[in-house]
Amino acid sequence: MYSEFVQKFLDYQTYGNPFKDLNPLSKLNLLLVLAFIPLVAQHTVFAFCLCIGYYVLAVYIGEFKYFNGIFTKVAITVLLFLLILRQLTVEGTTVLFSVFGWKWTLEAVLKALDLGGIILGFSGAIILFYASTPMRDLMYALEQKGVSHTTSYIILASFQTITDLNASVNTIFESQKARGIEVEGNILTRVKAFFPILSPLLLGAMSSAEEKSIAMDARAFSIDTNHSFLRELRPVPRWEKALVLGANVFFVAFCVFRLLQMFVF
Amino acid sequence: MALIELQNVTYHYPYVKSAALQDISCTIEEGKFYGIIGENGGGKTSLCNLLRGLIPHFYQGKLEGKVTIAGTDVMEWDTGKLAAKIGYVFQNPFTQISGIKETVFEEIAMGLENLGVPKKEMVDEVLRVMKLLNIEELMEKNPNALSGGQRQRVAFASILAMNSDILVIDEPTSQLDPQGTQDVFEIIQMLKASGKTIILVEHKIDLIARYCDEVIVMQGGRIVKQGPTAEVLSSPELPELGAVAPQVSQFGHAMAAAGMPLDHIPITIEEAIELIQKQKGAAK
Repeated sequence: MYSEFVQKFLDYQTYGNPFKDLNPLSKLNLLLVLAFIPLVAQHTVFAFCLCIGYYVLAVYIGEFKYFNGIFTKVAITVLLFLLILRQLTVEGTTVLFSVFGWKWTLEAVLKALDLGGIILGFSGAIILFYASTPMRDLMYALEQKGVSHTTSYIILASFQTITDLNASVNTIFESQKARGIEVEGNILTRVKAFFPILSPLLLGAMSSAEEKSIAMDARAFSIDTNHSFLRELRPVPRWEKALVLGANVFFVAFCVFRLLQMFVF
Repeated sequence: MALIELQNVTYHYPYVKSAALQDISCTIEEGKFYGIIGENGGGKTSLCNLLRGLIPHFYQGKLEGKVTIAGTDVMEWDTGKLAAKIGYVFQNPFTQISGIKETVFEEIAMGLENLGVPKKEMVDEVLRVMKLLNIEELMEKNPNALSGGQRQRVAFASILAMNSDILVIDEPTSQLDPQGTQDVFEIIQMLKASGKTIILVEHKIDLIARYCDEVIVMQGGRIVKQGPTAEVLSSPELPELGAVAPQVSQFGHAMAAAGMPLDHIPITIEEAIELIQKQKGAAK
């Protein structure tokens, strides 16, 4: 009799949410179809409706906080940049308001929203994918498709390396502080304190990389045998394959329709 | 039966003029427990790297002499197969964690995944090893957030789970408290009893004296003394060779110098007590 925690490994890994439980590659495929539709459709209202749809989906999968945190920042940055850029490059006639003599026009705002919608429609899909898919699930799915486990390891380990390097920076800062070196204060002080830590940080990282590769070798990482997996995702059901195929067929048909609309009709 | 044979092996790490190992000759026999002791920088870890085949497969450098593992020249071994044959736990517990697993349970199972062990067997083996090392309470924890001692146990468990015939263990107790150290030695003893060949680098000489069959003393990249544990650790020249002698053997030498020699030089406390009681009984 196994504990609930151990039993989870013997079963397929599921999250109890139909969208989250989609195979990562199916999910990526479906979201990419959604991401490219605003680009092909060139329809601003549709693009922003899609963004609202992403929010609904984020709430449905219980990842609203994560999605909203990143998407809001991306949306503000993109829209602000495009609004300013378009006001500088588009000559409009309908003046909305004026800032110190700089006239903001409706035409420029609409142009900014056109492009902004496409960018946000695309980036929303990608953010939603990462919000709903643990990286290790994506790597598992890729390994099943033939990606080498070395590639998979490098990608997964890179994320941990960032955390480890961050911890090393803090340790070196703390040890410098203990030696009386000023590391806090204004930006200039912080910058001056940062450069001397680069060499111990990089040398330490290189030395750890060597030891880590020995550690992986000790775990028979390079053995020429088919690997097994402790965590397994459920096999892709037929309905999911049909859904992905349907979405792709729809997308291709939509692209053809738009091309015909542009060049024939 | 000889599992690993080193004949006149000299090795230089890449870009280093002086040899890390010089004229090393020794035989590691199946089912025996070997302790490697000696001064810091004496070549203990390099010898482990050689016995494990990391020299010359991982560290390129210049290797002279002959190294055979299970009758096959080390150069002819596939590195993956060698990893399955010889388990290696090394000093630094902080770099032995893979960094890609979210729980200790998955971390320990990683080697078995690489070996292609079926899932059910994998789960049972991980549970067995966790129980053996008394780390069941760490099962659900993130391995990247463990203390040094906990990581050391997890690293050890990860290698034990792979069930290799030979284990090369480099200072497995450096981060552990006395009880943890004692537990690890008892597990190693149990592994030996199950027929595994064990090569252990350790500074805790009293534990080496208690558990090892043979001891190898390293100094300046050379093997300066090797033989049965009692013979090596009772040798009066041990301090000159850069190794620490067990306190009871120092006591035995001091007794001899004071004109009250014991029957022989003891290397464990139990042995010393027995010898003293015997001597007292004889005096009465």
